[in-house]
Amino acid sequence: MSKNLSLHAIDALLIIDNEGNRVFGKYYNVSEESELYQLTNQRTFEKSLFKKTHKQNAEILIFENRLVLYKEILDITIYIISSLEENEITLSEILGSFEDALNSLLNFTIEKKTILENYDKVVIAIDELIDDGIILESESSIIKDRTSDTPVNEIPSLKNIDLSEKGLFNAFKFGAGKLAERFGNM
Amino acid sequence: MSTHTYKKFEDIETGGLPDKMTVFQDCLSTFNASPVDAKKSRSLIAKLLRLLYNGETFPRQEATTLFFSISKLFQHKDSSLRQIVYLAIKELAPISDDILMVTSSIMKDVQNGDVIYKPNAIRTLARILDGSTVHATERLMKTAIVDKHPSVSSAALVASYHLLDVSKDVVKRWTNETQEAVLAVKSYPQTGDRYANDSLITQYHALGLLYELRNHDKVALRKIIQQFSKNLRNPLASTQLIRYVNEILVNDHSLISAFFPLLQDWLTDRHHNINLEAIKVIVALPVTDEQFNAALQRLKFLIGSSKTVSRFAAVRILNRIALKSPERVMSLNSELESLITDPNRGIATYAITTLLKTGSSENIERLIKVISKFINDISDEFKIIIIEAIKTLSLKFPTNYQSMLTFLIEVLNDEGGFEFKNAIVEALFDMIHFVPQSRDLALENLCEFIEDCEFTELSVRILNVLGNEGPKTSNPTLYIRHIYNRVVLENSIIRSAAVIALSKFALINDVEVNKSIKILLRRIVNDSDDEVRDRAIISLKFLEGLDSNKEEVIQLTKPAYSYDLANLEHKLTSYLSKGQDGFITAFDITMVPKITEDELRVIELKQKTSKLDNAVKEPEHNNKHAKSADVKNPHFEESQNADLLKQQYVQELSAIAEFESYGPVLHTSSVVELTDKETEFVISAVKHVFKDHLVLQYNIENTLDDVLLELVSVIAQPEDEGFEEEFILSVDSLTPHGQGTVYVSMSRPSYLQTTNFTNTLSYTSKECDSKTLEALDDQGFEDEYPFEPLSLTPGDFIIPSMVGNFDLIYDEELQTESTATFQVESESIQEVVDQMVQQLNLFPIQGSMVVNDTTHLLKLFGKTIDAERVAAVIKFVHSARNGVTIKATVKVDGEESLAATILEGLV
Repeated sequence: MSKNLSLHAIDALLIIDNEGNRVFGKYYNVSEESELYQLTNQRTFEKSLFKKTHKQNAEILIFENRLVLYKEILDITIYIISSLEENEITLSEILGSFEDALNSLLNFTIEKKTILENYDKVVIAIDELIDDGIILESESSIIKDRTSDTPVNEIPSLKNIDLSEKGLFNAFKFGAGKLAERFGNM
Repeated sequence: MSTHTYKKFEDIETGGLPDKMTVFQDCLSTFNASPVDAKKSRSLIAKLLRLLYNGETFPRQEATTLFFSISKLFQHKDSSLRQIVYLAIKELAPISDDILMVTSSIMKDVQNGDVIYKPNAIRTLARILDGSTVHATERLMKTAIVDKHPSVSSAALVASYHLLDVSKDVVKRWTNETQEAVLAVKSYPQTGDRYANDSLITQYHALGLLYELRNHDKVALRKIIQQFSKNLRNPLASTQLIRYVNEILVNDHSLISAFFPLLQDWLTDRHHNINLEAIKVIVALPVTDEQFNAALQRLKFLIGSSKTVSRFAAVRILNRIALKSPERVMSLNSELESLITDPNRGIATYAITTLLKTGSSENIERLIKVISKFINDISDEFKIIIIEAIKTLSLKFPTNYQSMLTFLIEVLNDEGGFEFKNAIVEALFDMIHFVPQSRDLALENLCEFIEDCEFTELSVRILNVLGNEGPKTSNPTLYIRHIYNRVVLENSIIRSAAVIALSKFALINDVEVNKSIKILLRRIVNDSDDEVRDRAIISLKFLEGLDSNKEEVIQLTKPAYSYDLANLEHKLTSYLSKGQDGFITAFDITMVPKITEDELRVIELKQKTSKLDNAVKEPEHNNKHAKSADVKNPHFEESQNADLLKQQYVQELSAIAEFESYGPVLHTSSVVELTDKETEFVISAVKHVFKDHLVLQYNIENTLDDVLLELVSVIAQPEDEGFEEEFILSVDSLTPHGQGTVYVSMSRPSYLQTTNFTNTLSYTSKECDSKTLEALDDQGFEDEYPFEPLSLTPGDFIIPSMVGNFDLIYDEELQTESTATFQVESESIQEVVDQMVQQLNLFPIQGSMVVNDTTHLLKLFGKTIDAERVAAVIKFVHSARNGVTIKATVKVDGEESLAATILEGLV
């Protein structure tokens, strides 16, 4: 039995909705010879995988010579796909961490709607979980902490006005720049 | 703006994808605006990423434009915007041009960036750099690797890992920093009210990188293991280290005892993934029983786990062990039985297939009872897997056919779809075919099944089998009634099949039956369907022809032999590939070997069992980047290749004029290697047995670079009398790396005589130019080269064959016998059995080649080339003190000396 000696442990992470359509999909390290290189093949793979797992509650299976771990949550299913020789329990822990991180990022309602509404946070969390097939972080609280919040709109308010010496100097510089721009345009 | 926000809301409600061109335009205008709106930009990038993660892609030019506009966002200081900018750059980099332009912005962030996006900057950097720019980041990377913040350090290590593909030499320069990082314990800084646990995953990344930097050096690898085995605190890092240990042990078994204490510690670690990894390593290595049991105990613990994944992983390992050595996992049978009803179908399947493998004749009955209890509660797909497993089992333990047959018949009458019914019918067919005792009962039930079978295809196939097998039973008239019912009640397709099946019953030697079949057929001639009528008329014609003893009709209706189909196919394709010129001569059917029905069964059973064994095996060797899985069965391929090779040899032989008068080849052995692969001359031999002659074929390869061999010949000296050398067909010259074949023809005694041939290669060697292959000296010198002797064994005169009533033939029909008792030093009976079956070339009857116990009974059957029957019963007893004790009895048709000779071949 050949062991996976490289750090590349994960072949794909997928989020599929309850009709078998992709909400998120990222295949790592697919070479051109791989059957999952072509998008159409990826779609067929996802459709048949979904058909096989939907409402089955099996958590883990071997599918088309790949090890698949998945979790069905309300109207979406999260899949982690790996090679056959990967450590099943490790993968299950990774999937669990991701779910935990999503739970705290999405206020304990993981569903298609909240994922799409917070797509920015979800993709950052995935990027903090897996970097090109390498498990980057397995601890959900760190993933959550590393995922920045959506920025709030900068509404001009008194709080935002910096009244320190440096702030005033900046304001002056900004005004001077704008003026120069205007003159330049004339 | 309001329509825009409305549309966005709608997108999310329906889950539809945002429009690609709209996103593209919005990106350009928003990112280039001043001042930049951070919130809007971030949500736009999220939309863009959604498109990319859904498989949409942009043409290079558009991607580059996007890439450029995103780089404008570096002006904005908002760290949450910056984080997603890095993700976008990472995803766009592979499809954009001129990506190096963002290098300086990224490097600035790596040096002085906020800790929230600094790791993202480092990881993105690895996607931007090329071979010429990596070295410029050396100092930055080194600093980042030893950074106190675990995320920064991990990011730098993972980035370096990716950079290995770009420039390994440069990355090697930070080996020291990497090594330091393996053991550094970096806790995650707590900020404000947020609390994050430490994961220490940096150890894993550092270890992985260090391995890549050092892996070419086995000594260094051992050092890594010794250094870190006790100090790793991250479970992922530990599992990785276990894989390195495996790497060393697989290549050097002698180190197992030295490393086992480590593996033992990992077996009892509190992290289950570490246990699992250690178990996987141990069970695949040639460890002692005690060591193996330590792993098995932990496996037992995982089987009892409440977590599905743990149970799945554990039972999957057991299944794999059971393929190779079922006796080793038998102690866990009761645990496995509790998994049969597991809600996870994979686990249940593994459990059942494992149990069926470890099963012995005693517990199979019970197992089948357990299965029949729940078979109604599971899906068709799963049922099929079970049926397949039972089918394999029925071929393996034919003596237990009763319970399996009852089971199959019961499920046949259950509700189910076509696939399911088809699997059962297939299984019954196999039993009828290979387990003759089950034939009558199975046929009767199939008859009842077609009474109300809704699948035309199945009915047709069953009718066909009834037609073939029914006439051989003791009470054929029973089936005639059932078949004729079909003719009355079914659609035209089934009716046609029934006509053919019916007419086959007229071939048995019973005037009454013959007469009634004809009456029935005459009635069918008035059928409304033309195909049915045609078939009835043809059948009638045949029967009339048979009555008047027409030669060609007899040959067509009662063929004495059939052709080897694989071989026929091969011959036909090669014939077709010859093109127009080849078609001048007609295809010669006599070139294809004929086989009798018994031989055919042996071949089929062999293929079937090897196929089934393989079907259960999952292709573990599938590498990560392997191309699409090879669905072909390697064993099957192999045996077929060997058969084709034999055919090729025989064909070559028949093309030689000297052997023309010898008649057909009666038996051709497989290829025997007579030298090592590395010697100067690599020689293998094949034995061909003719009626009065024996031809030894020596395939010789000259592996030398600069020696030319001339007048190459083989002197084969028989040890026993009866063989006279007739002539040798030598090879005139063998160029360096050339191959040639020497044939030695002998006359052989008319009785079965075994012997050993001592072999010597004689030749004249000349030095030659290794390029032009021209001889450098004219004279050369004569030399001889002795090599391994070749033995002629009883197996060379025997063709394996199958019989249904072995016990009858053995006990009553065969009278001449010879008996011997002897001992063999061997660990397992199976090994000895396999060797004997191979050596004697007899066919193991009733699945007796499978050993399950410390005592065993092997029954073998075959025919000699003179068509004398050979039956052997061999008893084995294994004990730790004496090895394997064997008592063998061989019974034959012919003289006692024949039995004695065959017996000698065993010892």
